[in-house]
Amino acid sequence: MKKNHGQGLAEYAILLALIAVGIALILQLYGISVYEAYCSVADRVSGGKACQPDEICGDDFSSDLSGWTTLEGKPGNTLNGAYCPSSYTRVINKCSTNGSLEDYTVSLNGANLTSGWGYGLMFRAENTPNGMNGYVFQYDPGYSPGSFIFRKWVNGRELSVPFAVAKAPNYSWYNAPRDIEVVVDGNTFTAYVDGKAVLTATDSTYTSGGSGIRTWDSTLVCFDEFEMQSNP
Amino acid sequence: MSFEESPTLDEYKGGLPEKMPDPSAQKKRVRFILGILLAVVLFLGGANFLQSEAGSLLMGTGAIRGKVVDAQGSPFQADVFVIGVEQIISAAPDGSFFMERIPAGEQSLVVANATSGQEYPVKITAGQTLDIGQVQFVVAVTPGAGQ
Repeated sequence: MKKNHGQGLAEYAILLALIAVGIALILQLYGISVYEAYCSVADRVSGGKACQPDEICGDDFSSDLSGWTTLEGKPGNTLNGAYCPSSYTRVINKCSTNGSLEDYTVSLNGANLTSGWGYGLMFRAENTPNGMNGYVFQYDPGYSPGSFIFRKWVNGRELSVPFAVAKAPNYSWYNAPRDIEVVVDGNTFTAYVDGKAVLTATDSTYTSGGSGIRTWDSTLVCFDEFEMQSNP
Repeated sequence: MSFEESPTLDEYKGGLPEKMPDPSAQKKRVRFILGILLAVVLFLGGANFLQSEAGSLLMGTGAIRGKVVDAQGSPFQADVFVIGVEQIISAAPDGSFFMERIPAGEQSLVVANATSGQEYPVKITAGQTLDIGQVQFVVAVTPGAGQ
């Protein structure tokens, strides 16, 4: 009798395990991480205290650019706690390339564009033997008539057609410090400027990678702080 | 079954029931559900595997041919590759290209020069060659500006 009773318990345990595995597989099929699903439920129960964001990487630009790798052009300089890249460069944060970071929130605070065609915040980026793979969110007054865009890079080539565009013809692009943030969550990316969502897009090409900064043409811009956090 | 769980004589005062209760019925139900769940998990696992790179290779590979032209319709000797596939080939001087060993399924073909590229969605069928005809490559003059 005891043997039969024990066998039943084992079957219930297998039943629960199969249900758990099934739910995890369904979430994976839809590109949702189990941790995020847990956090979204736990946060509702605990009033948003269950999964606080952790800082992954950061640079307040109080010292030199030793924490960055230059992929293209000249990196520029730090000055008085700000990073002012040269007018044509791509740099990637070394810390962000440690491990295979998947979902995170990356921000550039106090980004002040004074002239030129704009700048970009790279994410899920990696440098391969064929060149850079990854995505870029661009604060891009040069993309007529002035737009926020998401671009994709493949084998060191920038795909000429952005995969998402939000035109902002009357936006004040210059001489105003902006806080730029991109939330990278599964295959969905949302860009914020000064806390306001300006562009959302989905793409499934790249699932992990680091973050960096790019400028082009005659851009003159300075940044106060770079920060990467786990998603809340 | 313990003594306390034994039926009383009152339950059988009208005689033995036609169909005796099956003590293993619940166990059978649980095993049936277990079997169904196992099948569902195996199906979901298979679907996840087919989405992976190894899974797509298991589905077989195909090939693609076409011709790259520039904005004026002249042959363009572009670099050609498929996103997620390591090989990069160069189109011939007449713009024609042929690429093999592309995993079957929905793929993105890119025609590019050294700095920029154009993406074309394609569907590769295992064991077949897809002829996409002409694909245009337009040089982006200034990255990020006014295209």
